[in-house]
Amino acid sequence: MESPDTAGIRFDTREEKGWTIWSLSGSMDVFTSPEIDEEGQKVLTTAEKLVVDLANVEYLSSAGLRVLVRLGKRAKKEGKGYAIASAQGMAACVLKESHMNMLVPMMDSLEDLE
Amino acid sequence: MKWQRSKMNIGQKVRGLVLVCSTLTFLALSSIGLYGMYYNQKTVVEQGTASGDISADYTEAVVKELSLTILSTVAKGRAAQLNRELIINAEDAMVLSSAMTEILTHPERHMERNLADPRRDKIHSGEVYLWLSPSLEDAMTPELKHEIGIASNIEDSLFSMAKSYGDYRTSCFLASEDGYFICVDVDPEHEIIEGFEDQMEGFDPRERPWYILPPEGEDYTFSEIFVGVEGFPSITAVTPYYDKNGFAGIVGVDASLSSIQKLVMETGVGHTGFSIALDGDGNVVFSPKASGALAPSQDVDLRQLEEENLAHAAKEMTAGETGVLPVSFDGEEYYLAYAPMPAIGWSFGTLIDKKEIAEPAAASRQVILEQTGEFIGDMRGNFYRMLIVTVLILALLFVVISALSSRLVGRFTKPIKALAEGVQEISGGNLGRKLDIRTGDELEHLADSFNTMTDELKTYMENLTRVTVEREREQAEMNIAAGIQKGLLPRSFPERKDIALYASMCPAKNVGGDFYDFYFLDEHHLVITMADVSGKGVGAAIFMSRSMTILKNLATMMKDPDDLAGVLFCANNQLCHGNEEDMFVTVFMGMLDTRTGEFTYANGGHNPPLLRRGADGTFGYLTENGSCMLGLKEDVPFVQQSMKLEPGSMIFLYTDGATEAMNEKRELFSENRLLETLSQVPSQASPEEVLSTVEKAVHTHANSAEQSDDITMLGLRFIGE
Repeated sequence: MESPDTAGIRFDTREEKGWTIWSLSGSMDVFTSPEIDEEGQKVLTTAEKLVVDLANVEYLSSAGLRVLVRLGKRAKKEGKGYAIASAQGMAACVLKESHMNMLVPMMDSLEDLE
Repeated sequence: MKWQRSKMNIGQKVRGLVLVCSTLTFLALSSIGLYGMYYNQKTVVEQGTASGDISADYTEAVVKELSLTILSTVAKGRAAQLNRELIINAEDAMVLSSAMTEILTHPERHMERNLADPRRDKIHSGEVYLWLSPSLEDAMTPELKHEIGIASNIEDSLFSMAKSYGDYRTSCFLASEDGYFICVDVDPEHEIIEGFEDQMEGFDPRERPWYILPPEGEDYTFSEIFVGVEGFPSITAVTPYYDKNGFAGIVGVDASLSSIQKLVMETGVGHTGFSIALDGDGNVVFSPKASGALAPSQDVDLRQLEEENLAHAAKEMTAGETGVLPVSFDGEEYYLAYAPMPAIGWSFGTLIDKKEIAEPAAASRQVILEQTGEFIGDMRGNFYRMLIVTVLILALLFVVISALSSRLVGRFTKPIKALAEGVQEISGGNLGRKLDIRTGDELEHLADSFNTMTDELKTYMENLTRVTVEREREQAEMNIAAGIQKGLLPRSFPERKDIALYASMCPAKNVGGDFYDFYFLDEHHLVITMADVSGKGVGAAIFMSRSMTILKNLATMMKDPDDLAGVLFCANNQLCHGNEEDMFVTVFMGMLDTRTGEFTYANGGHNPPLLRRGADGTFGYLTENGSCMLGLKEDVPFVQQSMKLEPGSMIFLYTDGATEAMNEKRELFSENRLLETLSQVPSQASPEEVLSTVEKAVHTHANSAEQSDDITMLGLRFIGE
């Protein structure tokens, strides 16, 4: 189900320092969440260590948060590395207000990858 | 009456079109052909008529010309013939003159001869005789007698000459100036020349009308016509002869005009033709006419006649001209051809009735016109036959084309009918129907397109059905969820003097998960809750009701009245259980002591509320040491904080549906705008008025953009005692 108001979401995946960097661009809202969840589950299947790069995410709703939490819980269950990185602006604010750092490892920038 | 288009199917239309086209084509072609034929026929008729006239005119002219040429030729021929005969006479006279002159100028070469004497002897035709004029009876001398004897030697020449005239009546003679006359008469009808006694009575050759000399410079001349001693009209060619002393006499050769007369009488062209001989005085000498203008007469000068054209012709003839002229006399019209006889100054004329010339010309003209007329009639007949044949062919063609077009159109329209029936069946709902048309043309292409369209339509219908079912299911879920959500939220607000409270929830179309709650734990402790469940649909609604129930139960069971952190801690652990879908809820929970204004609060991942301290203060975000949302991770620690509110203070709780409401440009309403809006609210405004103001501001910002999340707000104003 596509909303005409949605900005949509785009994905990009690359490997760096042993991490699979999954970059998202656009809006993580109730409309794009199913797609993000589906794509994220695929990426996580092949990744050993997954970092979700939110540098280009302009909007993050509770539906988006749920996707990030779900991926984190699955990664933890499968013993895979997982982190959320580079959130900016509104997304960073939402992450901060919801205290996601208590649930998922957070990093300010991809440079913090080890 | 409104004209109504007749309803015809394609077959009838095509058949009609074929009929109309073929008929028009045939009509056009046959019209061209018929027009060509008509034009040709018309041209041929006109040209034929003209040609007939021209041919007739030409033929008429040619026949006339030919007739006149013949007439002219005859005239010229006869004139020349007669002239020649007269000249022969003259030449004969000159021969005799030479012979006589030789005898008389050389008398010593000749012996005297004695010739027959008509007074004494019977004279035979062709016999030379001597006649002495009565004046010599007394004047005869021996010299003259001797001369006569010598002159009689001309006998041989005369005899030979006379013999050469054969069957013609003539006389050849010598008339001496001394009065003797040596002559030979030829009369083919009589052996003995008779009538001498009467005819020769007192005959003196020197007194005869023919005793004349030729004009100066001429060798011979002709006498006037006269009736000879033998009783026949004659004309005599005369020439002089000489002796030693000069002129001695006249030689004459008679030309009996009976032969000329005979020739004139016999000469005639055609049935009406006849001839005349005209002398130099305009008198008709010979003519077969016994009466009328052209009867022979010595008294009538044709040149003086009233008939102008005849008089004119007579002038031409007497002037020695040759030609053909139309003449009219005695009420008849003739053509007159004439030619001169120069020897005697006569003219020979031959005439023919104009009608005799006109008749064959007219006959030729008639024949030509008749033939032309027949040809024209044939042409017209051919044209009308062709017209009838064309009409018959048109009728036949109409029948044949009707029959053929019915079959052909049937063949052509069969696939169209099949197509129409197939499409009708498809439109009736049978999307499984396949059109099988193999005509190899646009129809096959159309049928293939229909099949493709039907397939796509079928797929689309299936998808649509599936999506519709899904959507209906989702909508049903949403309705259930909305029902659950709406049913749970308290709508009865406390009416107290120490506080004022108002809450609202504006649900989004597809999302249900926000909730607010408020209740008194005892007379003075009011608990307010603002929460946002992630997810949507029934699952979210159930999770919401679970969360709401758990939170309320735990709050009411708190051992310590203000252990909100413990409530959240326990609620989180309970919600984590069985949360396979990883749903979560953000919760802000606060408790106000309405007597003291003591406000205790704890936050589980929810938006920080806004607080205005006192009636005169300004709104600002409540800073707190919050924790994460509930339902995801067990044993997460929560903290609570307390503060004392002055009377007039206001707490504003909300969900992110308010701050994250977007306009068409995807601009968020934002926490700053929320703060700004609240700052402009009058300090005495009730919570209901505050919520209304914020809701209006959010809707104004969103404008026509669809609301994507629930907008839930709660305002609490502490009034105090």
